[in-house]
Amino acid sequence: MATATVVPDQDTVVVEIFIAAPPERVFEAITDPKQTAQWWGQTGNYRVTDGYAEVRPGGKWLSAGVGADGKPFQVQGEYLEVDPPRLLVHTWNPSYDPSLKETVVRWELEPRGVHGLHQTGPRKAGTGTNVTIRHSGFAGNTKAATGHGEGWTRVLGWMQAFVEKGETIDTRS
Amino acid sequence: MRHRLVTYSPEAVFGALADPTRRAVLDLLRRGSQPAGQIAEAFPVSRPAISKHLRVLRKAHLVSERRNGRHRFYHLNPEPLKTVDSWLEQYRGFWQTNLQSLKKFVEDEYSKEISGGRKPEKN
Repeated sequence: MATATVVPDQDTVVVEIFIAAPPERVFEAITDPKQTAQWWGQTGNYRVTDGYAEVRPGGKWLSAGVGADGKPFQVQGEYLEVDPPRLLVHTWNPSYDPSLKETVVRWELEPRGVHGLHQTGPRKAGTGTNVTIRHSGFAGNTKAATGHGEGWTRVLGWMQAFVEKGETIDTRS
Repeated sequence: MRHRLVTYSPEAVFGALADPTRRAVLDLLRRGSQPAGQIAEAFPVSRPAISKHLRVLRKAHLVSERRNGRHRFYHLNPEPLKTVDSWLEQYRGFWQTNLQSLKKFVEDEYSKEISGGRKPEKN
């Protein structure tokens, strides 16, 4: 089951999951456009139908698909870091949401040994993968980073408490 | 998400929050509304610079302005922050769903590959 948390010291969405397959196999599934098309999206919601990927730093990638409304969409970007099978970092530019332009997606694939992993076949230790996705850069300022780190810690920290309480100490108008 | 005739744009809010002086202004206003002059005094930047920051914050609807006689008071508006929070929540859900699909796909394919010896088609 995937767990998701907002990391309070960055404008980042963090989601994790465990996959019972080695990191190499997971890395293939996230970089091979033929395989991406098979798991990305859901029937009745949206589906990726095509794409390409130049899996190297500076290489371009693109996924094209169809939304639930039948309208075509594209998500594309550039690979920033490629270190198979443990790390993949790329930009994310969806045609359907320009406010996400140049956000950054970071895939961290960590091997995790599991006993009795395979239900069929010999019962020996297999390797699974802890997959962590960090999607960041929503403020659109990853490159500029003007006092980015420290300032965000404070803002997002009190922002959540603030949102939960719903109002300031000051009276409503 | 709409409030009266205003739409809160996550892009405008994130843009407003991206500046450290603006974040500090919001932090100041969190403790209570302030007149413009007092906000300017709290920071080592010029009055016109503070006015510019307040304009950006107003455009993102993070602050609103009220006149009281000759003074203009600024106070913090929490609504856009809630928009941003629910917008980020959307993205958490998006990635959770995709990771679950990825898990199912890879586990199904991998167990077929190791038991049947079938290799995936590679591009």
